[in-house]
Amino acid sequence: MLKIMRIAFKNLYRQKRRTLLTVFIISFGVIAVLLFSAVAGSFKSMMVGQITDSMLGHIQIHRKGYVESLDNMPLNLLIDSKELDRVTKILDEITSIDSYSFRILFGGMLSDYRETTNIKLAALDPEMEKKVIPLLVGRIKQGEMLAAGEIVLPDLITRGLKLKLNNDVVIIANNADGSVNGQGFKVSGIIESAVGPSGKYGYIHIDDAKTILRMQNTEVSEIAIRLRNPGEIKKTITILNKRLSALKGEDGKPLLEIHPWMKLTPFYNIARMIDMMALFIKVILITIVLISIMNVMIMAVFERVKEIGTMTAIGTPATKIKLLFIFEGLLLGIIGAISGTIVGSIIIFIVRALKFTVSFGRTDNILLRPYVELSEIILVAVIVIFISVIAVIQPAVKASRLEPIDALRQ
Amino acid sequence: MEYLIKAENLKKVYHTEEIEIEALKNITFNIDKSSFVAFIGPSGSGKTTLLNLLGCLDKKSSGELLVLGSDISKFTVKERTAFRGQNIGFIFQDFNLIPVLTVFENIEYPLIMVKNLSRDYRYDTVMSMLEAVGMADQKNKMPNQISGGQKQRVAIARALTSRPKIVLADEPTANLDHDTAYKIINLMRDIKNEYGTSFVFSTHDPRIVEEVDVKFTIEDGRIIN
Repeated sequence: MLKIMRIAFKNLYRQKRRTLLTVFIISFGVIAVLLFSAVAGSFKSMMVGQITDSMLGHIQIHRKGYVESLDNMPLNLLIDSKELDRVTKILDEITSIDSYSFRILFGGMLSDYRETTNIKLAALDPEMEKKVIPLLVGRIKQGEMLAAGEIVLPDLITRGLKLKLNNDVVIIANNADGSVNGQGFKVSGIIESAVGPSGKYGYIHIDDAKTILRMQNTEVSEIAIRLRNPGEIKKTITILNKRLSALKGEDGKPLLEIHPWMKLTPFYNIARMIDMMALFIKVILITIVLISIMNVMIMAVFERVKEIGTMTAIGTPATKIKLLFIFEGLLLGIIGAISGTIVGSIIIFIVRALKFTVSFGRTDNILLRPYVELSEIILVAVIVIFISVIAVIQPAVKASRLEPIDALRQ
Repeated sequence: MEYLIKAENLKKVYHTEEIEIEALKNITFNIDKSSFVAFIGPSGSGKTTLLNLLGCLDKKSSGELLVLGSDISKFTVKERTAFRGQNIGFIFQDFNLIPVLTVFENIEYPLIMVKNLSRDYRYDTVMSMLEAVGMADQKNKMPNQISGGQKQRVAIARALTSRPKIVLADEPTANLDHDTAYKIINLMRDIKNEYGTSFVFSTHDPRIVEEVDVKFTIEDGRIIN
């Protein structure tokens, strides 16, 4: 076997320039895939990180039907205090959950006593929220996180109403019964607006929301959850579904519904598109490898017809002739995959060292940290080598089926 | 008596789109073991066609052909390849050495690809063949680094390395100068005497004709003498 491999290597060495060109094409494909995967993967991670760590958390729990009506921010679909107690106990018992926070979402009117505008508000406990979405504080461009009696407003509203830090504003809102109430706030922070459904919310303390909405007990619109390992979303949802199914509504169906962040933001589709593009690039790589190796090996068979005829005449079995060509393809694939991986890794390292920054939504200067998992590198190399062998099968079979008498006449 | 090769009314017809070409017309002959035989005739007389049939490279159209007692026309492609590997050595007019292999590796090739023998056995066999053809000192050279005569010596060594019972040589001296041709013929005769291998030539080279034990003259697909 090693001898056949050696002959295959010598055959490749015989056509140095062609072999080098083929290896270069394969390497180029591998480099393109690795670089794209690294940059796109980095962008995706950054994007997902921004969404989960500054807005949504990893998982959210709502009363059934709430998410469908999310744009209306209904106050008649809240999780009440009794249900909240039971949910809290369950959340505390699940080890994959790092932290959680309660939010009351409602719409209202914001007035600075001169002008009035609509505003969507998220009422929260700042300490709980910092644990669940640690990047929220980073989005505050001016001022600081709120305390009771204070409000953090999105920059688009402050610009429109020409509001500044420490200005007094009033929030007017309807409670669940339809009665109107108002409360004064001091602007403690201006937060940059972010892309996504909750990216333009204003923030107040949850106790203030309870006062405006005249709640006797704590009722919440949603519970945002942060996991210790974001890779355990599916597993945690399964556990939550199992545990929370005990909470039934009047119709006997589960009272609550659990959503991963992917179901709550349209940006998950962008993340999926990035994955699709990576797949598409891999398909292009496969095509490049397939066509270039097949082309080279068809030419090799065509050029070596007489040689193959001699081998067959001497008595070389067809399987060994096939094996000879398959080894040639295999070697091209291995050399191309290794050189492409080495050069690709060096380029990724250089791009990482150059510290490129990108903008996402309204966030600028996000550092791009391209990286590629070892498993991805191995997968790409294995695909290339596998395709190299596949590409050479047809020429190899053709070579092994050459009639020696015809081949020797060439 | 069992012949090495026995042919009776052997016929080979090539079919083209419009016409049939009868390359061999009911040929009958026998070749004994350990012979030095030549099929002589001008180009197009059917010598190479006959050698192709004897070497299991082609199939007869009709008649009987037994090689080493076997009706090779009944063999499958795989069986024919195996039969060639075990029993028949080939020497070609253009030498047909594998250009990426050294002299040593070219001779070793049938032992690896056909017989799959151990490394030590291969080394000893190849070295003895290199000694026999006087090429031991050239063993590491590539085919493009040696002369035509040396290439044919290597081809002879390759044909003999797997100890075949028959060596078929198609115009083996056609591309060689006078002296080299003589040396090659004498070398093959020496090998025949030493190993008992039968040599069957197709040729119109008078130098070979003078040296062989048995001659068949072919003309227009028929043995005339």
